[in-house]
Amino acid sequence: MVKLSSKTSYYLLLLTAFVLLLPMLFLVLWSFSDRWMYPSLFPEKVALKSLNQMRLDPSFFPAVLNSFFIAIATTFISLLIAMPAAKYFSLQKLLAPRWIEVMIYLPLILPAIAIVTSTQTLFLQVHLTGTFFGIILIHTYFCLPYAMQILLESYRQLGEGYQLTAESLGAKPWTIFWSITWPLMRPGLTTAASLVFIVSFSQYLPTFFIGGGKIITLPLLLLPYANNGRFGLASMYSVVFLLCTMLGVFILKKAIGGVTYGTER
Amino acid sequence: MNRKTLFALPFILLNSVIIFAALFKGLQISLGYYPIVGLKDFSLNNYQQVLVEPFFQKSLLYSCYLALTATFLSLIGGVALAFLLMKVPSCWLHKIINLPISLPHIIVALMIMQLISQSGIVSRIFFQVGWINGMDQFPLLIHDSRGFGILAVFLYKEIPFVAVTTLAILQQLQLGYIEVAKHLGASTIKIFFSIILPMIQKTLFTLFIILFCFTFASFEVPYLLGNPRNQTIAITTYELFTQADLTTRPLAFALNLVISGICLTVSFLSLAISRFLPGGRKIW
Amino acid sequence: MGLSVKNIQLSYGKKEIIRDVSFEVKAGEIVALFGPSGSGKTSLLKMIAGIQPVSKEKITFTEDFTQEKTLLVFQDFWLFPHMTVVENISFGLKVRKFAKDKIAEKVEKIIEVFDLTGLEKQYPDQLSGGQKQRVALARAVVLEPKLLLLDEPFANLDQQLKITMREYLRRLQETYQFSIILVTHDRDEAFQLADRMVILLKGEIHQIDEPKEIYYHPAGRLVAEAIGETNLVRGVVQKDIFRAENVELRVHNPRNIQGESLLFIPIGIETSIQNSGVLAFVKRSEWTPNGQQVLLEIGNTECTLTNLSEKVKVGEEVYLTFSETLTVMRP
Repeated sequence: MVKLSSKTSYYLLLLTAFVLLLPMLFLVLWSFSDRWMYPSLFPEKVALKSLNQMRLDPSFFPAVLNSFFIAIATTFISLLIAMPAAKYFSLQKLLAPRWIEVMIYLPLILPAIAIVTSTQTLFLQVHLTGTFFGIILIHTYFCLPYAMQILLESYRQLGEGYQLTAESLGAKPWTIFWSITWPLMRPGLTTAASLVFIVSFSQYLPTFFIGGGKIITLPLLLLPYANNGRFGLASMYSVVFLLCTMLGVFILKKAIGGVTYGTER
Repeated sequence: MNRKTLFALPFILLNSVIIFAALFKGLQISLGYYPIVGLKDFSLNNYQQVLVEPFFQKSLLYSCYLALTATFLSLIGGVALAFLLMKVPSCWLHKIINLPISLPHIIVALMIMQLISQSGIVSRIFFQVGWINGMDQFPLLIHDSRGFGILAVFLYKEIPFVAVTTLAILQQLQLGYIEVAKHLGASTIKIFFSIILPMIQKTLFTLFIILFCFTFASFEVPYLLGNPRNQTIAITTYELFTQADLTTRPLAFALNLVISGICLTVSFLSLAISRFLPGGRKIW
Repeated sequence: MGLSVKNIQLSYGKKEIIRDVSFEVKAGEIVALFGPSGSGKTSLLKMIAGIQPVSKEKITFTEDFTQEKTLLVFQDFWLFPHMTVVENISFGLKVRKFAKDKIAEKVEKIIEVFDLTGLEKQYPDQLSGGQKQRVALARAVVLEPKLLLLDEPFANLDQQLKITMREYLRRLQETYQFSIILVTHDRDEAFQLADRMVILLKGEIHQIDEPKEIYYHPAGRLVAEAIGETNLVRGVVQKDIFRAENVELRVHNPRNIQGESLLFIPIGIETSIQNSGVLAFVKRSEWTPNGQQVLLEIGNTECTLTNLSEKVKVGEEVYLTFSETLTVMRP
């Protein structure tokens, strides 16, 4: 272990942050460039060319809407499934924590390409390919680990005590959930929802295979542009992508909200 | 099954259906039973082909190489970064370090391309400074055989991820243990290996499993930044799947199962190792 | 009668925690459920409160005792962290659908009684230990229960606060007239508060009696040790005569023990120093705020006594006469 002074640590961290930030700045620069040929360090012409190209692309706006719709739906369903499951696993005493961890992380361990292609074959038979429902299902499968991990930790921190106390004071299950569990779980739910939203919004393979070419989302448009080296356009799409995710997270934060007094732990 | 287990049912149901259906279908087709195409015999030919043919072996090994390199470097870099983060409480720097985690891999790949391709920013800087005289003098860092660009993407995303996760654990650690050890005369190195490491090894192994499996089977990043002559296994599978000729499907499914098997084996091996290392017992 | 608990049995997997527990609680009395930690007392309370499943015939409520009027206050208080003191106290009333003005009225009154004025809008993390305790109690008492179940309520408080709160609870109980089942492993607490004590050891009830009775006549060695009584002199008993080295004493022998036995001497028993009696050798004498604590050797066993009629010197040999006839127990 190297002994580092606080100052050295600070500068090292600063350097790291700079290195991480730099590519992002260039991304933004690329989106607003018109001509940026080698070897200039900065764009020769700054223009909204990429922005216009993007707007005129007929598949752009529908893709954004699709991405949003699928991500919000996936968030909703993921939370609906993860909440009770996380509560159950936080209280049960049968399985060791590591086994539960494995169970939750399985979608992250099994190769996505394998699951997606096999699922496509399955979904074909039940006519789920090319449907929003099918895509939302597969997205949920991939997003659940994130939701479960966060909610499991939240429920563990919450503990049983408050709910038992409310029960002993005569409250019925619905009252307990609404007056006690929900207010105390909201910050955790917001974090989980934000993460699920971002992960779903970023999915490529599942949407590609299950969408069957009929449903296009933003990542599906983005990848080919990046692949073809069309930096300007790809960067613009990326910037829009990031703005969308920020918007989504913002909406979720407002909807599920926040930190009420006493929930910081 | 009492009422409470009902709570976990949707979760278990969704995961089970997808995983087992995938498994079942995959087994069925890969063993040769694919009536749509007219194949009806069971055999292990596909598996044999996948495991023996040099083309597939090369792809598997290349993916392993990328996964191991990326994961090890990320773990070391991430833990180091975590300690830096612990020492420097600046809120802004922490927030910046957090950013790469929410960026999708495709966008990061794009950024890396813009940065270190032969026509990228770094190349331009080298040109301006006079270190090179032309685009082609800049070393090939993407689409190269060692997967430099691919590794760069994974490091960019995974080092902050490891750092933030480890930081959370480190902050939960009771520093009392460290104070006592210091008081009893232990050196910093001894403290790190006897006290800190066992406490975070569980997390590190979990991170290893997740990162290895993800990198091993990653598609988007190698697709964008890879070398056509060195395919990763996900790309090989993808190509087998997107061919018009459906008879390659059984092969593809065999490959699916093989890589799933590899991921699961690596995972369980890691968990086993973690259990027997100091600090691994109490959570089983 | 009021509450009747019959033949409760509790196991955690293969481990049997409670073998067979039965007792009763009458209106207006304080019963202490006394035993070491982990003996299943909390589960017992949960069963009585209705939060833990148990077969219906085992817990019976009669007269005006009902399960709805039985409230449990947990050891960790569990004040809802996102609610103010007033909101916490009102919770039970809201659940029972009381009218808003009625709630405000009751809460205001209870805040006064529990000495919480000025703290109405505070949140639990702004309160001290004693204040949290009072809010937790107020939250239950405002519902006017017939039976209050307290699970080691004062365990998390410091010594002085404990004594104050115990007095407080006594006065509350006299005012509101509810019964209490108090789970505790603190014997002083049980002695101070309880009308009756239920000694729960190793999953069984060993004695149910008034604290004074238990102190002077514990029903066996386990009970004596559980309440912190350590004076057990080894010797031999025949009918009602106990003999040990330098000791010959007439004793109570309720179990008709023959042969090897232990003579139980309560630490606080009134002992007078006279010219004849039981021979004892003074080994140590310490000052405590409650008087002199003397370590004596009686019949080859070291005993502690705190209620001697006069001061004794270390190294002295004295003759002790006890104010009551002592009991013998099985070893």
